[in-house]
Formats: sequence, C-alpha cells, structure tokens
Amino acid sequence: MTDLSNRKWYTGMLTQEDWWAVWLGLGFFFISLLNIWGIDLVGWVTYPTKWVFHVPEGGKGAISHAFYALGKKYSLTAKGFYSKLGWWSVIWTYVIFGIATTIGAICMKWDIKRFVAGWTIIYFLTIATWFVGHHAFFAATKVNWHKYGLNFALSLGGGASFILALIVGLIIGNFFKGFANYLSEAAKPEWYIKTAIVYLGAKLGYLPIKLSGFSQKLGKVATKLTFELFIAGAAATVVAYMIFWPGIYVIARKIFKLPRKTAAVLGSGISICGVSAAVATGGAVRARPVVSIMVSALVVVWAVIELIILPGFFTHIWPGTKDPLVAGAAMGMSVKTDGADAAAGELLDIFLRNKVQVETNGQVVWPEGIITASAVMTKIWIDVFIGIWAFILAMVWVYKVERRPGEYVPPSEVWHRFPKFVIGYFVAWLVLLAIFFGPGHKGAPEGMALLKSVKAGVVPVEKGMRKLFFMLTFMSLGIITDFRKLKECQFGKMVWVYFVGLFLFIIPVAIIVAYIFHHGMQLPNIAQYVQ
Amino acid sequence: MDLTLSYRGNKWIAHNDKMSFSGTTLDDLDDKIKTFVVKSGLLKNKNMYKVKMYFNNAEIPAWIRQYAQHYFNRVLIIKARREDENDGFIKP
Repeated sequence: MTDLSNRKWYTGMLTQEDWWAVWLGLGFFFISLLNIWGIDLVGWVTYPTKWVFHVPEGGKGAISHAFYALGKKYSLTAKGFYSKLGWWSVIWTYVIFGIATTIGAICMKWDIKRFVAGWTIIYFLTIATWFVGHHAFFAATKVNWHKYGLNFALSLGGGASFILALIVGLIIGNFFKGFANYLSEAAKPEWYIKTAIVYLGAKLGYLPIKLSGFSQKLGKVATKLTFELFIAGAAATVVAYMIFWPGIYVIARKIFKLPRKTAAVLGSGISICGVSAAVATGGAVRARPVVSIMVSALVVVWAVIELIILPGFFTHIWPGTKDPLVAGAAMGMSVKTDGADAAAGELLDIFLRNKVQVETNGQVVWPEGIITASAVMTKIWIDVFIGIWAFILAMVWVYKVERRPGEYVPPSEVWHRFPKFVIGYFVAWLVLLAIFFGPGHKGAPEGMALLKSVKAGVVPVEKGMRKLFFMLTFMSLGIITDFRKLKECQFGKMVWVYFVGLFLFIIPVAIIVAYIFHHGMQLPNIAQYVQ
Repeated sequence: MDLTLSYRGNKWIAHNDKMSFSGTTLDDLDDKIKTFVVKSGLLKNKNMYKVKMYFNNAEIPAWIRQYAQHYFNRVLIIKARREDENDGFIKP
C-alpha cells in the first residue's frame, strides 16, 4: 500500500491532470505572447474550413484547403512559412501536442505505450470528424450557401463536427467495448476540457482586444460584459447552491427513502458539480468510497444525455435568441461535468449565433465565445465552491450528524479540493486584460500595434487550440460513456432520483436563477464589422 | 502520527510503514488507534496527541481520478482525560 503521509500543499503539481491542464494551457498561452517580440511559435495550429467536393466557379471550399495553419491568416512575422503548411499543419499539431501530452502522461505515471497509441487514434479520429463536420452541407450558414454552390444546408456551423465527434465516440464506447477500453488511457475528457477552459480564459481576455479592432467602444462593451458575467455567475451560483442541494437531499430522503449518506452524496452529485462533488461529499460524510463511485458513474452518463438534449432545447424552445446569456448560465448550472457543460455551452453558442443570423437575415451577428463563456463561468464558480462546500459539509457531519469525539477536519481540505485549472483560466484572462488596459491603451490608436501582435499569437490559442481540445473532449466523452451503466441493477432508485431531480427540479430552478441574474444582458452586434 | 487511510472490502485500514490498524467503521478504527496511543505511552506527559490520516487516493478508480483526485483526510485528536471529565476520551 502507498504511504501518503508526507503530503504537502504542492503535492500533485506534476502528477495530477488538473495541474497538467494548467501547464498545457498556460504553457502555450505564454509561448503565444512571444509574438509581442515578433516570435511566432504557435502559428502551426491546424484549423478546418468549410469544403465541398465540387467548388462552384468563383466560389470556395476546395478540399486541398480544408485544413490550414492559423499562422497563415494571423501571423505577422511568419505568414510565409505557415502558409505553406496546409494539411501538414494536422501533423505538426499532432506531433507538438503529442509530445506535450505524453510528457504529462509520463509525469502522471500512465501506461505510455497505451497513451501514445490511444492519443494517436483519438487525435486522427477527431481530425476525421472535424473534416467531415465541415462539409458545407453540414456547416455552411444560409447567408453563405451560394458560395459553396448549395441550395440547402443544415447550417450547423462548427456544431456539426462536435455532434459527429460525440456520435463516433458513443458508437465506440457502447458497441466496441474492447476498443473503448484500449483507448481509455488517452480518452480523458476532463483533462482536455480543463485545458480548453484555460484557452477559453485567453478567449475572454482577447474579446476586448478583438472588438476594439472594430471600434474602441465595442472593446469597452466586451470588457464590461465579461465582468458582468463574472459577477452574475458568482451570485447565481451561490443562490443555486442554497436551493439545489437541500432540494435534492429532501427528494432523495423523503420521496425515495434513500439512506442519509447516499442522499448526501447523490444530492451533491446531481445538484452541485457531478463527480467531483460526489467524491468530495462522499469524503466529507465519510461514506464508503463505493457510494461516490456509483453516483459518479450516473453523473457521467446523465451529463452526456443533457449535452444531447439541452443545447437544442435552449435554442429552439426557451429562451432562444431573446436571452442567450440566460441560456448559457442555465446550462452551466444544469450540466454536471465540466466536459459536458463546456461542450454543451459551445454547441449552444454555435446554435444561437446561427439562429440569430438566420432570424435577422444577417443583420445581427454575435461574437463567438461569449455564450460559451457564460456557461463555463457559472460552472467554474460551482467548481471553486466545491472545496468550501465539502469543508462545510464535513464539519456539519463530523461535529453534528455523526459526532466523533476527537476528529476534526483540516482546513487544507479546501485547497486539496480547489480546481487548479481555474488558476490557468483566470491567469490567461487577467494577463490579456492587463495588456489591454496597460500598454494596449484600451484599444486606442497608440496601443493598436501591440494589440495586433498579441492577436497574432492569441488567436491560434483561443481559436485553434481551444476548438481542438473541445473536439477531443466530445470524442473522449463519447468513448468513456456507456449507457448500459444506467441499466445496472444496483443503481435502482438512484437512476430515478437523478432523473426526477435533474429534469423536474435542477433544470427549472437553474433557468429561473439564471433568468434572475442574467436577464437583459445583451451581446454586442458586430454585423457591420464582419460583413 | 501520520497514517495512510484506505477502504478495502468492508474495512477501513490506517497504516504507515511501522503499524497498521483496521476497523469495520471509522469509530471502530479510531478506538483501536486510541487504545494503541494510550498503551504505547505516546500520550505520556502530553495533553493531547494528533493522528493525521491521509486517504490513499490511488484507490479511487482510474476513470474517476480525472474528475476528482482527492477523497478526504482526517485528523484524530486524542486528549488525556482529566479526573473530572467524562467525555469519552481515553485516560492515559
């Protein structure tokens, strides 16, 4: 048995996925900032573009250009080099991220052969679905159909690729169990999404820089909006915590007659933040580890079901394009794993932006990523509070519910539970804000040269790397999700508690709370600048 | 004293490289540790003795570890009971 009695506050910095999301995220983010000094080391990141088999005369969409290195479009100092990469950028991205993730896997003492093989297969499957999902029939929006010689397309934007990746992953996870098991060493949706969330922090910080390129006023609007999301997300999360947990606990105890500890673990799993909350609460109430493990299995499966249902529901039924940030915040409070939530938020972002463009015939265009940010912001606050909630619950349990003379809860529990990737998210955001407000002169003409060089570096990170890691998340989520888990008899009542609690209590309450705190927040219209 | 805590089968186990304790409940485990601390004289000339227990998180299944690496840690304080007290703590 392992002796862990020498644990320190910094234990795990090189051995936990949470920390490796920070290293991968911030590592490439800071490398991207070398562009300030004219050194572009991130322009190789591959990115797909829409394509068709037969390009119409004067149109676009050649397969030979279906993937390109983002440096071709954004680099200020190495555009010539990155322009030549084309499809080779897929290999560059594979090799560079393959090396980076393998270093992480070595430090985390994973099975390296299986990881490298799994990473390779998952990466190229992801690229294949990314490619197929960008066929103009799936991805082209109505205003662009003619450019690809189409009279009709599904208009799903990048969402088609995400849905395809999830479907391919789910087919592997549910029909090719042996293969899924082989891939499991590299199918790490939480690692990938936490890394993507660090890149999302860069996106949030980049928004004012991007919009100030359109007009200085828009840059200020974006800054204000992101701060409002930050505050509203925190407030909504605190309110949701106070309603969710007691509600689910009462449903589990009074209606379904579950034991006290099981109800507590289930209450946290359904109402707070899925697996990490279930594990944290299991520890806090001193439940046998198997209780947390069972609840965690349920959480993972139900989160994917939510990912399939909710983006469409919020887009087409309510609140739709009237209150996009209410939809995003409600998503963050409803979907119980980081991976499924951020993925659902990204889908919602694409669906709502496409919908508003179609509804207004292109007169309204929203910037990409703000709706995703609203979904992730509430989720991040929930993650941050898990440690505090687990600490409070542990104290209540140890001192009140099952009083054990002499036992106390060390305050270091809060730090051990703290989601470390959040550090990366805020650092990326704040560094870019500091640049924007400091040497960037809030987007004034005298700061634009610097902001353009920052843009050349950050776009491959916030756009290319973020989307790639989102795609890897969708694929991996599918691979590790086995719907048969819901049928396993030992879950019994818990499946029904989860169903009732989630759809009849959590989601409606999340929508109400999101409405209270986010109603009326408007996304800036950038139509006149992008057309 | 620092111990690593595990749950195996139906038992809580606390151990380090020199000793090991087990109990079907945490209360049971705590009683055994308290008895050991008192009998081995670790509480001698002290008002209290701290036993830190760190859960062996390697026992959480690998697929869960990506969501949560940390289960729980606990500290047990064993106090020397004064003559006028009857609070359940063990007299050295």
